[in-house]
Amino acid sequence: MNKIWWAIVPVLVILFGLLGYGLTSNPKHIPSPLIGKPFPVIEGKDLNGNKVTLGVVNGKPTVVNVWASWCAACRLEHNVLIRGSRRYGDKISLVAINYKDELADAKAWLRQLGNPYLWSFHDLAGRAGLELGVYGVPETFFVNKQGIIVEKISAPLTDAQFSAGVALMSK
Amino acid sequence: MQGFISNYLVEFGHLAVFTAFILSIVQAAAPWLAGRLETPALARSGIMASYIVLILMTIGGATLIHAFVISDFTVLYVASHSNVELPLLYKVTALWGGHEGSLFLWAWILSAFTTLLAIQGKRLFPKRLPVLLSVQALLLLGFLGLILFLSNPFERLLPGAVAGRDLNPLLQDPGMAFHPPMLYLGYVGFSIPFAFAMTAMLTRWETTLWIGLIRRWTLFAWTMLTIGIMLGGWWAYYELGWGGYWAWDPVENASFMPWLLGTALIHSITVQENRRMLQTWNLFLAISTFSLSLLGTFLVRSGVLSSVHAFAVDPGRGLYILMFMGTVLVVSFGLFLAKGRVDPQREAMSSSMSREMLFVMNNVLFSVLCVLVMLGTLYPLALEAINGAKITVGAPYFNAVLIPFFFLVILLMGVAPATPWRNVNLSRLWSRLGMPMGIGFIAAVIMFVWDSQAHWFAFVGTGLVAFVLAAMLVDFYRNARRRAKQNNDNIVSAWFYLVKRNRRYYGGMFVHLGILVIAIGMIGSGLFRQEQVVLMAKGDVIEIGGEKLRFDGVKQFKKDNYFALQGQFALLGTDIVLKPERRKYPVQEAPTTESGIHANWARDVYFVIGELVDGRYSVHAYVNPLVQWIWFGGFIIVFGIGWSLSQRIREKRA
Repeated sequence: MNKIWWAIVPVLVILFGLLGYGLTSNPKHIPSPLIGKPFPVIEGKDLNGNKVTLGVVNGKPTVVNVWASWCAACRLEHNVLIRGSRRYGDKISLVAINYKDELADAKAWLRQLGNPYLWSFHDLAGRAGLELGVYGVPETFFVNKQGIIVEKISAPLTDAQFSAGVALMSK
Repeated sequence: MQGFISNYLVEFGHLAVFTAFILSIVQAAAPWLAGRLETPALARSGIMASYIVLILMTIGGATLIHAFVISDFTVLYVASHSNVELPLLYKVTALWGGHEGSLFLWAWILSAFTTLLAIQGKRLFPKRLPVLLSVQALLLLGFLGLILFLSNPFERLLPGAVAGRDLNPLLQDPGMAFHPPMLYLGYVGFSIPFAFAMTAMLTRWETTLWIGLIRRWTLFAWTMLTIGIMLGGWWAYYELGWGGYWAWDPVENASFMPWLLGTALIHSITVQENRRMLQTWNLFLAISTFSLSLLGTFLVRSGVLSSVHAFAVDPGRGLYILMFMGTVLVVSFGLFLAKGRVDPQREAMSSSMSREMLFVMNNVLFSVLCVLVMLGTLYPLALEAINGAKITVGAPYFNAVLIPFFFLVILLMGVAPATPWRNVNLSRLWSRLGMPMGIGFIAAVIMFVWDSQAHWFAFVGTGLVAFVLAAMLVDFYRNARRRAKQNNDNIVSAWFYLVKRNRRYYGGMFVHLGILVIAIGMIGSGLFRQEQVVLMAKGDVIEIGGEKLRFDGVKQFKKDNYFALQGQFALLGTDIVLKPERRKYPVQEAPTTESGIHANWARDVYFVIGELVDGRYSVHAYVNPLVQWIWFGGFIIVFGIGWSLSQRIREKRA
């Protein structure tokens, strides 16, 4: 009867295993239902008024970053994108959706901080954002050559996430 | 000179807390050093250390509060949690509005409890006191280490911020201002039974000799935890605007688990005091209850579980708390396995029905409830660890699984007080409980006839509550009549005499009564709530739950640190106007809702005003029956505990 107390040991082991695991995972990271689905093809204009099409750009794996000049967190991740575009050069296409932003503000922002994007889709009304289920800026989609979304990050991107996303795209 | 002091006040506080850290090491080491060096006098230095630690922590806390009150935005923590326009009350309570300050409050309260323990112990158990204080000091060291090295509230922000980030608007509410300190008083209070259990195992201190000493500490901690949980529910009800008060959110569960085991502990202490049983079990409960308090702190402070209390934290702190908690649990349960188990033959219990048997069932039920809550809370984490699936376990699981067990608890609440210790005469028990059972049955039938469509919880719950109330009244009447006969007194004054005389028993009964009143409120509001979402233009009338309300448009104004949009809803047939608000706090850019409520004993009419859609406002209207009973029940519980604690103790020296 008295031996039953030893059951405490496995209970504690499991508890700490779980909590330790919990620390390494982020509860707010919700895998997007879009992963594994094709990226929708959306036509529109970039910040300079040129016609552009969202989807696979130039036949290469494409990173689509959603940003806005009013978004403070986008400022944080901007250097990550600049480093990423330098690192991967023309192995990938890095494009953007400029989300619910005034044209002048957006252009000034890129002039000030540098422009890592091939172009930025100007989504003043949030139409593209709606189709992609954007619920907070910044968000980043990783789309492989076949046009399938392989990863989506709904937070300021880190260098590690950028590389991991690129690796997933080239699989 | 004065300028110098006021410039470096926060550094002074920081230094004080650092000194407290050093002194805690002394306090922790004192009894062991005294043993090694064979100088018993050294052990007493721990007592002095505990006093000074409290003074130093108070200096640290005071400098932080001062920094908040004068809006010193060169202090990072102040700059991120306060604002010049914040009302004074919330400037003070903003101390625990964030991670660093919350932990500081935890440690501060712990040092206060330690000092109280030292004062009590000097008279009652001077020989064991140094070891008790050593255990407390080790716990304090764990928290001070986290505060000083990983989440320092004294950190400067230079150059200082121009304006503060403001306190999270959701926390700018009286319920929320006092919810954390109450919870912490409860969590930290359970450290005292824990320290007793540890000391008992380390120094071979017979449980029977100290179990009476922890009863009051445990009751106090339990009461504070109860108040804290009730305040949290009250705040959610008034502030969050979803019409409910309890959501089985992981963080709510985190405070509910120690509450459940704490309840078990209170009852098993009573058994041991009366029948000298359950010694091993009591040690286990004392350790587990405090462990769950630590787990609660960990869950809230580490961001492991996704919750409405989404507190952002960096993983280093989470890892620290996990390792600290791991050390405490491994050491305490290891010690328990090595030394805590008492020879079971001494605790033999006859298998027949008796009050101690029912107390054991109470303990089993509360432990099962606690395990079930833990299962539901950690299950999403386990599933994710196994196959990466993201799920949340919500109210449907908890309600379906836990409420039947709560019904059993209520049933016991009726049967156990009528059952004598040792051995029961079944026909006598029947004479005490027969009539209450009939009343309970009739109440259940009435409920069924009144609304046969309702969930079975409704009539089973109603029947059980009626049964226990009747059993309680029969018990009161029986005791009073016996007393009245002996003294040729009338029954009412005899009853008051008994209540005054036997405060422990009747205090406990009042707590039971408070639980029943809360149960009535939960049956009413949980099962018979009415809810509508409508778009309303000025002049529209809504009818809900037998009440009619007319929308008289909105008012807009600025107050303190927010802008408000206030709807005006006239309750027709009265001159009452409900004024739900939507507030915008410009600094944090966060909106909050304030529900408009008209409450009476029977129901709350509860309105929330939403967005403007095509010239009409979306309005969320609820009629929640019997909600006020819940808060009223909370007051009865606090009164009952107060009554129980007001009994003069016959002090025994151990």
